[in-house]
Amino acid sequence: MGYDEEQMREVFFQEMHDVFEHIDSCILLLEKKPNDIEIIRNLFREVHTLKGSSGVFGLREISDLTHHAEDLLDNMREGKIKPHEDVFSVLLKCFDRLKEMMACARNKQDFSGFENQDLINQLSEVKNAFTIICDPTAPKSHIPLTLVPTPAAQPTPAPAPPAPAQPRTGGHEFHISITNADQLFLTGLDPSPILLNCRDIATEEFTVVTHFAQIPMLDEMESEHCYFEFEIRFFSSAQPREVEDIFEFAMAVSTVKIGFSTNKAPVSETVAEPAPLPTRIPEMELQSAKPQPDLKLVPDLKPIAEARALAQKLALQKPLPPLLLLNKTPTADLNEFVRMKKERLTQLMNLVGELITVKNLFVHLALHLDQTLPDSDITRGFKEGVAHITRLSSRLQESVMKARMVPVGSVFTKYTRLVRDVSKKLNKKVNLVIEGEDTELDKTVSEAISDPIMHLIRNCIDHGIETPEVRRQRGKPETGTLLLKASYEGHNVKIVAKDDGNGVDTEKVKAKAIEFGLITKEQAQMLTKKDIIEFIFHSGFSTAVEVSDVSGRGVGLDVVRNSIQKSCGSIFVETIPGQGTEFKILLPLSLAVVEALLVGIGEETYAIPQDVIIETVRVDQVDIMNLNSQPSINLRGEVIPVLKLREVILLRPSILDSFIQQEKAKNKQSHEFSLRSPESFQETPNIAVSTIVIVQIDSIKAGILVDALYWQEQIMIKPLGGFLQNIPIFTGACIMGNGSVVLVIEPKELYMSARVVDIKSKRAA
Amino acid sequence: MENLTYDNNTFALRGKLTIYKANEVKQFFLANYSAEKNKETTFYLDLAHVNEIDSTILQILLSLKKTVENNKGQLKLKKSCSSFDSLLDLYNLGVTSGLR
Repeated sequence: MGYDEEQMREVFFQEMHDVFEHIDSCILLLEKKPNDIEIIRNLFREVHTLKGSSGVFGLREISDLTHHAEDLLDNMREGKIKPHEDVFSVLLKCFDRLKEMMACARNKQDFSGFENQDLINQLSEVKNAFTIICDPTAPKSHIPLTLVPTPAAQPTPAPAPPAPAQPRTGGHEFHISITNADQLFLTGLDPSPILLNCRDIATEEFTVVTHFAQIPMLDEMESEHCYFEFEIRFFSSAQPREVEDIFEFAMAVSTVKIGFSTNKAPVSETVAEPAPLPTRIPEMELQSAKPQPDLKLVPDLKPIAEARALAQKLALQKPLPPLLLLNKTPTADLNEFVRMKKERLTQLMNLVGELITVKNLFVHLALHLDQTLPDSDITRGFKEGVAHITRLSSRLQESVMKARMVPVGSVFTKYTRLVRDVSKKLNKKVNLVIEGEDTELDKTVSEAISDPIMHLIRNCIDHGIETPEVRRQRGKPETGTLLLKASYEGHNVKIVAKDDGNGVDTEKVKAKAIEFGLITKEQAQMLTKKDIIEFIFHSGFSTAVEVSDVSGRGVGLDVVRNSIQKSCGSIFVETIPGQGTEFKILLPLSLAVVEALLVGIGEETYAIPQDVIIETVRVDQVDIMNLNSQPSINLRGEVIPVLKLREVILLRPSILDSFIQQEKAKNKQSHEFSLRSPESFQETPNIAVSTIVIVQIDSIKAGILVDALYWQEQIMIKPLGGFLQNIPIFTGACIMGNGSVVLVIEPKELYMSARVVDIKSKRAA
Repeated sequence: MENLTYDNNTFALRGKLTIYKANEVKQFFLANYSAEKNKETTFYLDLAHVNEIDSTILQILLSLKKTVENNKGQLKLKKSCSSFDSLLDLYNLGVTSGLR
């Protein structure tokens, strides 16, 4: 069995990406809860993983810089360094640099040019500046350490007071054995860094006995199977927990026994002759050399056992390389997760889409068969089969879509850092509140909205939330609140970004719109508050007096809206001057398969996504009135503009169309679609009754005039390629059961295009 | 592969030898050793041009030694490298392995 180095690299970098995310989250959490020892420990573990893994992959520079950060965190964990904002800032800077280096390594670029001495100096400076100087005789007041062994003879009072840390000068004699390590190499672990770490912390007498008797003959050996076993003995002033950390990952895949004696006095005073193990020990001797109960080297193994269980649990939570998943694993839980390439899921989804297309064909065939052979057994059997396929394909689609779902929290988490950095830069105090992070969204959608939400957050902090002084003057708390909330709303996911800041000054927006020549003063008087707020999404529109590198160039919100619309979503704004602004984003759960209504315009069939359709109505032609040159209808008292799709698309009959019509008329075939001759297109205005599809476009309702309504169908939207991709009124195309291609309309773009057509025709008139 | 050569009873290894090369190294030893008719002789290891070596390769070298000795032959280290020496020292195998 051989390793695919590229595959392993990919897994490694993916894991490191996750590790960096966890590190960032931990630091940001620590800023809020600086004395939470659990967060410090988690952070330390992640950093330790980063250091160890990058070392294994030969990324020495990364490993070295991480070592300095790890050292700082080790001191913090020991309670020797005060967790302070400045310490966190330097740590964040350090991990930003490490991320850059890791990105270079991933792209196989040289990163030896990174000058890290500045960061190492900064880490050292904060380490010195925030070191807690305490009287060694005074009782320890820092964060209690839970893994310090309690001598067996000493009763443990309940509730247990924080156990005092062992003084480093006291030292311990450690005796460690690693056995059953056959899976060690397969998990990417090499014993040598473990031994080196032990040697680094050893103060005296570091002895290793490597057992290699189990190594078989060459033709019998498995090259990735670890046959080594180790006995390690050393003296160290390190705490047992520190030693435990060294073996954290090895514990998950091998048997590690750690025994230690508790010596409060310096080692040299109590142990004059630590018996070193002979360099070569016969097998029998080795058995006796293993830790024995009467040696009293293990004062209380309970905390260690707990730590081991925790370490194993943590190791299990980590994504595992595929090779390990394929092999015998120590715990069944390891098989619960599989890391998979996104493309594979996309391919699966595409196949499901194709299957649904074929299923649709069968549904139509069943209907056709029902009409032609209503009482036949074949029809009944076919219909039953189709019903079964429909159920199965629906369940399959649901399952695949579920597999593509990711919690929106994975996108939200990274904003914590953004809020921190932007608010610091602008000297504002902002508390980010995240709610509904478990809400799930299609991976493609969640990736697509990541940047738009980032823009919104920057805008909220820059334009919305006031400086602490202004907030004080306004009677608000100094710290502004930015709420990021996700929830389900029907078949959509709703994401809300809400601040308690300035709100949008509609008068200011109106004035700017007039200044930019977007509207006249007279028109401005007629606009509602909703209409005015719409201008903030106009390209190049900004009311910011000063342009900062955070926002204010007017290239934010139009980009936000466009990106959200590309994901078939919509954005709404509500604002109360002086109280804050709320951006509401509605996104489909998935982009891949959607319900759509098929409509006919002339000879063509188009699909309109079902989620934007409110209703379909039939109105008398005479009821379509021109209001300010805009065809409109009065629907139960509400005036709704009507868009003539034919005019926007510029459908006109061609000689070829006539020819096709003639051929079709000759064959007198019955078609799925209600066909009309090209000549009859011209007569459309004379048809007494018109069919209109009412759609909701953001906050506006509009009607799309169509020639015929067909049926509702599940479609898989495929992106348009070539020159077609530049036609915004079509989001994509889908293939029907009969093989024909149907274009999918984007109602919002259709509305915009219709307005442009309208303006052009007015100008021409 | 040019990093692994066998000539005149000498196994010469070069470059970075880690777990990714473990199977390749094992197959190289197996193929060349099996092809050798006279096994009751001395074989040599030349690690002079090895830049990096890890525990998986060390294990294979120990297995080769065991295999050779089982057939009444000998495996001797002709030229070593710092990476191999460090690893042997760390594992305390300098004497016991017989590879130095």
